[in-house]
Amino acid sequence: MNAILQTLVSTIVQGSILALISIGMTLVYGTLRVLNMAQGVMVMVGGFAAYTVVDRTGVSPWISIAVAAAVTFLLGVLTYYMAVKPLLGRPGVDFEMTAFITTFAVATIVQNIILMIYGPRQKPFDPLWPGGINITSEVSITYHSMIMAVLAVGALVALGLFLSRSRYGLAITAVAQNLDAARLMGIPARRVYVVTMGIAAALAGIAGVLLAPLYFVYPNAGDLPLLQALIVVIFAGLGSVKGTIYASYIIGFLSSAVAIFWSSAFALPVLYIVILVVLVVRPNGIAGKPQEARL
Amino acid sequence: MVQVSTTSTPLLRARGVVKRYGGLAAVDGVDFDVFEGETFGIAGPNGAGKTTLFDVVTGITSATDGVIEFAGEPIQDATVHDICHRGISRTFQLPSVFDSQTALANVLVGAQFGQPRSWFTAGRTDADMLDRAKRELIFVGLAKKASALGGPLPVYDKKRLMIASALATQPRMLFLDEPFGGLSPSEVDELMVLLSKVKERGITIVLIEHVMRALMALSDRVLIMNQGKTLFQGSPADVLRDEEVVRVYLGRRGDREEGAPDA
Amino acid sequence: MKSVPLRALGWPQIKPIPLAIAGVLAAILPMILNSSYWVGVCTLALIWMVLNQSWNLVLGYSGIWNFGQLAIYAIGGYAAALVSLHTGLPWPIALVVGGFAATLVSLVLAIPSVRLRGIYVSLLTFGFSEVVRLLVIADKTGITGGTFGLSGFDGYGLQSMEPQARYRLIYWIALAFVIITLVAMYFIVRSPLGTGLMALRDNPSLAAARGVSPIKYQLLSFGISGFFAGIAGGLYAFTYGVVSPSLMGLGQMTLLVTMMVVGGLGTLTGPLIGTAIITLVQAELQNWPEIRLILLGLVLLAIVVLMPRGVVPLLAGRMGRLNSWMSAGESKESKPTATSTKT
Ligand SMILES: Nc1ncnc2c1ncn2[C@@H]1O[C@H](COP(=O)(O)OP(=O)(O)OP(=O)(O)O)[C@@H](O)[C@H]1O
Ligand SMILES: [Mg+2]
Repeated sequence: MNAILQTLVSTIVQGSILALISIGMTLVYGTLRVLNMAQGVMVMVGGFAAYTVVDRTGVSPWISIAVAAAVTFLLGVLTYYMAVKPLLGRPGVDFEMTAFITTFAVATIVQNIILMIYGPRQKPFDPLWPGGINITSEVSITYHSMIMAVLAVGALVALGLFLSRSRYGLAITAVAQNLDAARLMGIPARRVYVVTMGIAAALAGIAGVLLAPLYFVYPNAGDLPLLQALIVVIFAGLGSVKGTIYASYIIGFLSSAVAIFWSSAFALPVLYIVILVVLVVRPNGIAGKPQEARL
Repeated sequence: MVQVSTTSTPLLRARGVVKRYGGLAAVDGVDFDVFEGETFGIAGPNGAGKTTLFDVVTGITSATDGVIEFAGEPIQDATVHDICHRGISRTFQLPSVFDSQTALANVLVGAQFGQPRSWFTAGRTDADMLDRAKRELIFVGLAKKASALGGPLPVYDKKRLMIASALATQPRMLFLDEPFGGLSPSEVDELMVLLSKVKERGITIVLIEHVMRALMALSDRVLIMNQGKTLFQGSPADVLRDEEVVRVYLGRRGDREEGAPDA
Repeated sequence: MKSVPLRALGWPQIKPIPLAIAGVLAAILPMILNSSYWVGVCTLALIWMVLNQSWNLVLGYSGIWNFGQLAIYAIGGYAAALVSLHTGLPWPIALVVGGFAATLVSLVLAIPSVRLRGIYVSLLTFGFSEVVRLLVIADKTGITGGTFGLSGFDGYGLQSMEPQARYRLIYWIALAFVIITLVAMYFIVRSPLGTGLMALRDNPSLAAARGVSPIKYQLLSFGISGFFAGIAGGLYAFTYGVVSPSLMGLGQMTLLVTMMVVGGLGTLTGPLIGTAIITLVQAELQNWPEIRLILLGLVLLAIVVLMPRGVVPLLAGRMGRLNSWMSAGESKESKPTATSTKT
């Protein structure tokens, strides 16, 4: 009973954070057809940005969230200019594959710059709100994980409103649905690309701050979130926002359940096998369209 | 013209072929027969479902409903390469070749894989196949460009290259999707000569074409499609007399910029 | 049929003189280099050349975005090490066992990969590589030795040899495998298998419509590629006497992908030249590990952005233009009759 309750709590927290990270990947893929392999380092950089401002200036960790979002937004924009823009509209080169490699290269560069500056050691980061409550004698929830879930869901709702209400958001949605039609309507596609990359990175940066008290801040902190996000986006079918949110909670549930009932070392391998099976049955993910060709 | 006896069994037999994309029925219950040795023309307005019909027959996409038989055997569930091995070869509406390969290497693909082969012979280069590739390249008149890369070739060369690699598979039936589209009048004439030579080799041809001059000259029978359905089926001479065809398809010749029927 | 020469296929040609020079240089390199450190660096480069050539078959020639090759390589290494550790079988057999183990895993990975579209394949294989690494690290059964890996096996069994001679011999063994792999790739590229794989890469629906079975030939390419990757893993294990999860990982992947991209994917000599260049660069930067990876990342980024086809096709293009320019000049001056007969 306790284990089940524990799993539920963990599912909500993990699922929300996963959604925050992978929505960014989905958005970027939907608008630009770029699978952003730098999304993991955005999580890590978000953590470092927050750690640095709190450590240097002693401001409240709450303010550091905004700083982390701003820093990662800029880094996302920079990634666009370094790794994506030079590849746009080049004939004879597979755009998706080259963008996969260039964003991967950016991830390597950023990760090692951080490593050079801060060293490999794990840095502690205080919870946004210390303490917690006991639900039963054995199951407890820290206030921090409640805040994680609330903030993550809040950010997702804000994103949803932004995409469906604001001018820029509508432009992003339009480009994601049909680039040519969006161009014809006079939407500046390139500017939409920049903003999308920035927002996606900022969401990951916020997730990075929220994760920091749990997993510390260190240069490899983004590796696991990247892998989990990859699993989520494959599972969902790339480019589907709704599918990504469902998939985040499903994957969050599976990994919590495996970790609690078995061992956390097996969480990722089990997820991976689930993905393999899903892909063999539905080659375009749960929300993707089935393949047409009888090849 | 090749004599066609309609009492013999058809080489290709399609009954009630339907292909739906979501709510849209791109092909909506088409029946037709193609007999050995004849040339069967297909025409119709843009979006009539001609290419989709080709895709269904050649396995590029699966039919929603219907039966397709080739040489007496059902092929509606066969894979693309299996259909090729059975003897149906096709070209595509958009000129498509293997961009990074030379013209000769393009044709060699058809020569080496057009017939069934097992995987453990994949290491063996066969002189016969090389010869066949060269022959077909010469046949379509591209011998001079044998070592040119496929990607940068002009449209007419790409179209001929597609035909050469299709012929290299030794097909019984050749499906051509708008081979004359985008060609200059003199190129149209040249290609018509080439296709009649293909016909003389005894290869059955199914031809989609907007250029009515070519369609009328080459086809023994024609099928006119509109919105996925059969509008007309019969001899080329009767097409021009059919009021419905003239109203729906031929009458609007001014609307189309390219490949307008000019018969 | 004389009018269409076989050369028109555009297959890679053997250029005897450069090949002979490169072969002789490679063979006497350990005698020229008088430091065992540099012989070691070159041996590692040779092992990577075997691995990169195998990877290039799937990634370059077949155009399948397989980023799981390092796991296949490591599995080959572990299998060879286990054979060497637990049986008395001679080392070539252990290597081949490693190769077959890797083939098997590669084929398993291929089954979902050939069914999926490009980007999904890269996600799937990338994930595979990481999961294998994490599983090995988490392994508590002692079979793989966890984080520390396996060591203490016989390997080549040359422990009694005098060090300098031993380093040279190990270098030559690796060189022999580079040559074997190169010859194999040369024949594959010129065989129907190569034709079919490149056709599937360039235009999958046209290739299938010409009778190429995607599943059959792409599985074959995964199988062959896996075998040579496994051999490379075994060579690593026996050269250094240790296999550990550090054979895989993101840093290692950056390194090897950079090599292939720098040299040029889908070319025979690209993986060799790219590996040589990057190994040299990274050996020079050995003492600054962070800068090394930053630089590698920058090189990878710059090459993909500035010359996505890599160094080899660029050089080949330049050479081709030079040759045609020289021969055009020749025929204009000395053979006016030749051109007039053509027209
Ligand atoms: N993959 C697809 N998904 C959805 N709809 C499709 C798809 N392919 C074709 N269609 C639709 O099916 C209909 C028939 O298209 P098709 O290409 O077969 O026409 P066509 O007769 O070849 O026209 P054209 O003369 O322009 O070549 C069109 O309305 C087209 O938009
Ligand atoms: Mg069409």
